Amino acid sequence: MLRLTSVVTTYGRTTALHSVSLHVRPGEIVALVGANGAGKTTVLNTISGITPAAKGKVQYGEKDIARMSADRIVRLGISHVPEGRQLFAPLPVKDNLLLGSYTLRHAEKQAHQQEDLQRIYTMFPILKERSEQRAGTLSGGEQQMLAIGRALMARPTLLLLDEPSMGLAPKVMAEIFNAIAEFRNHGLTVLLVEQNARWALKIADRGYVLETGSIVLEGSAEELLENREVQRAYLGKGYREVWE
Amino acid sequence: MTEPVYARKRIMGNLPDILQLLFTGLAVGSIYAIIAVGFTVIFSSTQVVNFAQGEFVMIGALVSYWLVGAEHGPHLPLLLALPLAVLTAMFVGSALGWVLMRPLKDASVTTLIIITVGASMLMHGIASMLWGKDPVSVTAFSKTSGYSLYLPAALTGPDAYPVYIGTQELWVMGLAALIVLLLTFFFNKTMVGKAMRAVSVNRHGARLIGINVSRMVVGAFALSAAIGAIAGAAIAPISMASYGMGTMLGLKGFAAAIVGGLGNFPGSVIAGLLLGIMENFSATYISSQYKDAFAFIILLVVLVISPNGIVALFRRRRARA
Repeated sequence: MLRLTSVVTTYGRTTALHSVSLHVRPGEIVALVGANGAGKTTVLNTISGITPAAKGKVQYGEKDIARMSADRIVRLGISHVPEGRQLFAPLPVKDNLLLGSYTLRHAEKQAHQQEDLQRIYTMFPILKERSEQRAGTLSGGEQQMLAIGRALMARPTLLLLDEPSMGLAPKVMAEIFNAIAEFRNHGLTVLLVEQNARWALKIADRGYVLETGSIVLEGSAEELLENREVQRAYLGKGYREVWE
Repeated sequence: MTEPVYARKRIMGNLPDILQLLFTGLAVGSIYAIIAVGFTVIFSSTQVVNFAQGEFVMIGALVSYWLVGAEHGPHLPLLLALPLAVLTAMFVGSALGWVLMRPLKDASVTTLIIITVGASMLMHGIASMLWGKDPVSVTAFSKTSGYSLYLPAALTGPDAYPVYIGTQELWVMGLAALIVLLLTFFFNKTMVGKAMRAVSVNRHGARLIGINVSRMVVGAFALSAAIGAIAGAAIAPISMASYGMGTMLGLKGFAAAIVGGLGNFPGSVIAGLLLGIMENFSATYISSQYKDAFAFIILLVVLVISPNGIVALFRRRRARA
């Protein structure tokens, strides 16, 4: 459903991605893991049109979206939950959610908006409790829930998630990852970027490992969890082997 | 020894003067307030201080003058001319917004601000060619020019002047109030208004949920130009219209926007009204030669006391109490 072929993305003169190719099949959860600065966020920004690819193809279904504007990509059904959440802090929680469905056509909005809102409130009940509060007053975990909820309000078929675990307590993290694992049952496809490789690979079907702008490994989530190189570099296992 | 009754009469004898100054000050202040609001609309969505804001006021005044009263103009009724003048300003405003967002989208905010200064001079120049350099007088909105309001003689003494309530001043205040109400509704109740606020508080987040940011910014310029043009058309019958009228009005509106705390909507309105009233009183009781200077003296004083504007000052007070 999503296929990146030899994508090169640059920021001015620096090249952030060197020929990245990856694909995501419908209904999958695909994890993209790697260290800080490996280019994980850039992959997502390239897909969602925030920093368009300099070279290469980004195909979504039949369409090439490499040079499409960010708002048209959202209309095609790709929603991006960004790093740092990027909420509208002075606006109430409810308005943040409703703005999520900004791209929907009037008839679609009439038909689904209220129902979608209720679904998100059932998924994350704390958001319902705080629906009149300003988004800026929420805790980190609640903000992450709101960011995911806002993205879901656009009725996406592909969800791009950037570091949903960042800065969260383990208990809250578990709640959010359970919710992400649940998306599969709603027919949603997920591309998940995470530094916390263990968590990401636990819920993912397949995974890619990104290192300094290039894909260095790919495989099923189990394979990657078993891979010694991944264990050493990203899962904090097998230090001894290095020293022995 | 002063009799208490006499003392009262002396103070109350000034009542018509004070009310008169308050009334005209409020009218001028309403104009400053809506110009300040125009600054706020553009600043909050782009961080750009649009120094061409005053020119939208000039366009509103001169286009409506040409459409209604000019010798070789089409002599349209005001009800038709006003929307046309507003549309003209909106067109110019959107063009400016488009230039800032598209060809210059990677320029820094400072560069963009300087471009608005340039745009202002350009509009200034074109207007002086189209309409000449002489100020023109503009027909008032209503036929009745005003009403004399006599205060009860018991309050003011037997031979006090009446307070003159000009109808055009009433129009100005009414239109300003209407604009403030409509904008409040727009930004708090409509989805487009909320999307515009979303762009202003988090542009990146707005792009991610599929808001076309450059279209929103062009919209903000159009909206702000419309507000300015209404101000211009309304003030022109009081102040006359000329190609240069936008400069001073724009600067005063800018002062009000800063005093109100740049980007603060209610702050701009309050500051605009206060500025108009204070300017009027100081021109009468201190010196009318320095009338224009007072706005900027007030601006300087406020910036020294509370750099985030007067509303921030009150907030801090309240928080401390």
